[in-house]
Amino acid sequence: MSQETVASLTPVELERRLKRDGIFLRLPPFVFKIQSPIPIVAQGIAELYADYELLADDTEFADFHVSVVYGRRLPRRLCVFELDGQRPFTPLAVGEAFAFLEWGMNWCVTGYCHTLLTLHAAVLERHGRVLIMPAPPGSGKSTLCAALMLDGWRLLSDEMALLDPVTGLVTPAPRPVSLKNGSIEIIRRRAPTASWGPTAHDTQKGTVAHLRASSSSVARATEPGLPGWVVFPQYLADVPAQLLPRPKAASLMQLAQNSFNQHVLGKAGFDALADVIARSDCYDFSYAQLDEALPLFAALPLPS
Amino acid sequence: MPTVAGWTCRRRADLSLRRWPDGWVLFDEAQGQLQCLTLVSGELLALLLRCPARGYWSSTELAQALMDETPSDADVASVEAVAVAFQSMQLIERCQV
Amino acid sequence: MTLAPINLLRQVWRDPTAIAAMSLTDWDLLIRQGRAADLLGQIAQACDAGCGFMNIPSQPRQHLQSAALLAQRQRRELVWEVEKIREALGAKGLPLVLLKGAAYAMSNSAAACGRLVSDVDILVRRDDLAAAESALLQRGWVSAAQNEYEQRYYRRWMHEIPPMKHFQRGTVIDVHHAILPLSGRLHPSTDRLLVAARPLADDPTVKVLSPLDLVLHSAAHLFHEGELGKGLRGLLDIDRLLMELGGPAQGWADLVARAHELELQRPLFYALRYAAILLGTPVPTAASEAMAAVPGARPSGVLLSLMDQLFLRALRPPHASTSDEFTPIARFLLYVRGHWLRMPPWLLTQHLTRKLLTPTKPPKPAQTPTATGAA
Repeated sequence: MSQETVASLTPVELERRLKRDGIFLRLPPFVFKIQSPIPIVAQGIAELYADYELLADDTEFADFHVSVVYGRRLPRRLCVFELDGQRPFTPLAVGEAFAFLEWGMNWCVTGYCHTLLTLHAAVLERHGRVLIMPAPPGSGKSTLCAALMLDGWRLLSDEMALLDPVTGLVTPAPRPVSLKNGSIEIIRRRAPTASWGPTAHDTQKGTVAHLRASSSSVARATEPGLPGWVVFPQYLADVPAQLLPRPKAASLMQLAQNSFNQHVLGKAGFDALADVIARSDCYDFSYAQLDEALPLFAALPLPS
Repeated sequence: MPTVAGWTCRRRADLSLRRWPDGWVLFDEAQGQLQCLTLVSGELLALLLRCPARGYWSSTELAQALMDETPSDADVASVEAVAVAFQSMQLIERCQV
Repeated sequence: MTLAPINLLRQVWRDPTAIAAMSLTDWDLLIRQGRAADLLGQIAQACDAGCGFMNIPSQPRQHLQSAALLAQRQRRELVWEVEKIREALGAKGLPLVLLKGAAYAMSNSAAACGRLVSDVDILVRRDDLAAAESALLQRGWVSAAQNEYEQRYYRRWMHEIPPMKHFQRGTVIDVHHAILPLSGRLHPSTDRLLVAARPLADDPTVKVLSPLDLVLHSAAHLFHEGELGKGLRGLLDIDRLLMELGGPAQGWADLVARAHELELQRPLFYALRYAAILLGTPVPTAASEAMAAVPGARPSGVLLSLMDQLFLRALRPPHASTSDEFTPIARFLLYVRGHWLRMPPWLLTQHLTRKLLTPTKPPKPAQTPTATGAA
């Protein structure tokens, strides 16, 4: 069965559909209905979701019905994210509309999905095992994630690890990699031909732009992976890159602190996290230069 | 206060423990909290969760089981201190012996 | 008046065998309406009981299971919280009488199935209020009032002191000394409610309002409330509680009599009427007739028509599929009505003016994951 992708629509047609009734997009493992009259949103989707499956207009079920619309006041300088008419956030500048959509979609998943254990982490896969990098903002996780993806790692997510507590596997949810400020230039230089979405200036986080997920990552979005490594990254200026084994009890505590909903899943959630730690090699990682970091990751031995 | 303290855990169903080379991690499902414990204190809690038939441990018995030999007064006092800490975390209760 | 039907929602409780035959389109709408109405947990429980989760298509099933897990988790936390409150009040020899969600959960009422409950509501005698507040302060709860005005407003006019928040657990307790505000027109007797309160089957140190009073409190709260975004949930609580009262005609007769005794006949009238219309609650004809015969229960023809227009809109889920062009004004008018019922005109003016002039902080977007405590 051939699947229609976003690329099959011309930019004009895409913008028209988004403005009118919206489009149904399969963003594994979810289906989103997305609507927006704002051109920068259409631009971002055209550029960054070209490979993703576009579902029929009469699709019966969507997990989340989201939109980014103009604020109520004129002139139209503001935009606001909506989940089915509900507005959980205060408005942002129209220039941030695409980024707002991305943040909003993440919020839907972490706020409402409890059949999977969700973690604030970048997730990649190589050699059949999954690398989980839990980290709060400012740790350099996203830059590292983008670089690893460009270096051949399969991207499962730059932002959320979705762990199935029953199977112990991580469910992929590859989406554009969100990068900020200096990281944008660093990654542009490393991959001059890579595709980017619109740049949003003067956001709460500074300058934000999204890097397109690699086609191979998107193509394998239905293949879950077995955890193999848990690495806690920390960007530290002027420090040589190093991977230091991290004791497991401490790793479990740190992993749990980066979970959104372990407490909701109770004991099943605790066991799922403990099993991840049990079957993975755990490290602390500090780095300043990506060129030093990548070989260390490439050389990671498979867990025993 | 009784001279020999009896300790019991009534919330066994709420508590999950996992042991690692560098320590234990405790999950209290009722309070929704995770806690890191040292190897020794975790071992102690594990013993308390595996309660003997009569329903309680004394501090001396706990020290004995931990060390596999007759404990000194200092050892019993250390165990007592850890047990008191567990009591303040509402994991175990003191009972009349 | 033809308003958008809420038959999908009704069906979940009135005809659970039909759940298995629902199309994906139906599921999409049901989940969206349920989420808007904050009823997804209850829907999940009812669907699981009606046909089993595994007979529900995987896409909607995931959302229902998530809601069910969240409800279960909150219930677990509630049990712990009630225990801590019991210990705090018990230290001063004060009884614990639970209201609303906490009461439903601890007494294993059908109203608690899948219902989210975060705050705990308790009822104390006015004379015991200071002691109760002190007992809670000593065990780590602090007043969550934003400012002096709020403190004074609550203590002078309301039926509860400002909510108290536990400094460590972050949980909230609402201490009521009456079930309706002092500044309002109705004053159902707290003493009568407390006398009729009954202990839990498995823990006699904790009490809840009697089954009749739980219905009446829920009705009083819902039909004196100004903000009805969660109105359908309140109505479902009433439906579940009424179903629990059971078939016997005596139960209904007692309910009507008790409503009269507590001056709550008007709220009960509305409760029975709108539960029957919106949720299909099987209210016996004899009960409806008895209700209409109680003086002060049934409003005049004109007023009832107006209330129908307002409540039948506002009690529907706050969702585009169940709203029309008059829904915003219906909600606004009920908002004003809620305040009108709660306070005399001069106080109303003062209070609303203050609210309009005081800027409220915009909600912050959730950005960091919740951290679990570490030693």
